[in-house]
Amino acid sequence: MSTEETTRQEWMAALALAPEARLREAWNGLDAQPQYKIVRGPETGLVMVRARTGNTGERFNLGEMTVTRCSVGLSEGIMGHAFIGGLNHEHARLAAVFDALMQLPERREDLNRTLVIPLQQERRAHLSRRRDEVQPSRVDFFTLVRGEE
Amino acid sequence: MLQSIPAGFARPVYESQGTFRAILEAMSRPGKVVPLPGQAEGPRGWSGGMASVVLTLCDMDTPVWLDAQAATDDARRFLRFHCACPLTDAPAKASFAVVLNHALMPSLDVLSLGSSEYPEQSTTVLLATDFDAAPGESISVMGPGVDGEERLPLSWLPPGFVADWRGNGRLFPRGVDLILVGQAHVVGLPRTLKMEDRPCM
Repeated sequence: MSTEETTRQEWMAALALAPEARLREAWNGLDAQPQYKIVRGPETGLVMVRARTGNTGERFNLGEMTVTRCSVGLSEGIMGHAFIGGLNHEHARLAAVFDALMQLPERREDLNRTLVIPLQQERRAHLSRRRDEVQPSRVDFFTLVRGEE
Repeated sequence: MLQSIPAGFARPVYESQGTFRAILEAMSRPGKVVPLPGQAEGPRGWSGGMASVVLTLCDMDTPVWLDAQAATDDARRFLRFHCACPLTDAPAKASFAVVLNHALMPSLDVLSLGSSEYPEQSTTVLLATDFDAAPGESISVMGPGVDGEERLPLSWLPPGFVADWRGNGRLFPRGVDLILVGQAHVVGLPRTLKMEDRPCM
């Protein structure tokens, strides 16, 4: 039993942010590739990304983003969904399949160990590397108090 | 046990546009049997034709009312997933009413009849119909889009429908429209259609 149980939201995020090649590798590496059928998509559309400046104040429309979504159903009746940024249909399909597989208790632990947790670690490492690269050029803005004269 | 949701259209863009064109043709040529371009995979108990028409017409702006036979859990999940349409228990609030069982057909005046300002806000009834049933007796229909006079088999309509339809016609421009939906065909009965119980010549 892993100390931290990955929630569905977390594993869907990890699958959506993973490189397609990693998911394909994992799919090819499965001992028993499950039967599934496509319920919707993969199809590409736009979603409006909304944000708050500094996470306060009113939400505003930041801009539209290209999103590809896919839903699949396993023969067990479990459904998997994926929404990924960009146009990669193959990625959306694989992410949806793995989302469905992660809902099967007999598959979850294995997939968590071999796929989801490594993906999360890589992502964290990638982000912290980016932070380290960007940090040296950081500029802090502050206002000097001007004299009255 | 969770059930996977039926897939709907295999090619959503082409099939929903083709189905829309067929419905348009059916509504402008009342009584004409118009073939549907494809059949969607729908919830259990629904014909492919009914699934196609519902997927084509319903979206988040159209409240849908289902008769007791249509309102299965399977169907509710299907509609929420593919159409994102609100489901209503009140026929008078519905943009579309799905009636699978002729015996459960609500009388037309409990549906939304629209207002004089917005007659298009009335309910459109999607009535499951078996076009292959033995024709039997028929009635004559006439009105815009019908060349002179056509015959419509009574077996396509619920019992007592003709009298109800006459009341509906008197409300013009308000009133409901009907689309008869078979396995692979549709027939339009817009509110302007007149039905007369006249014997065949």
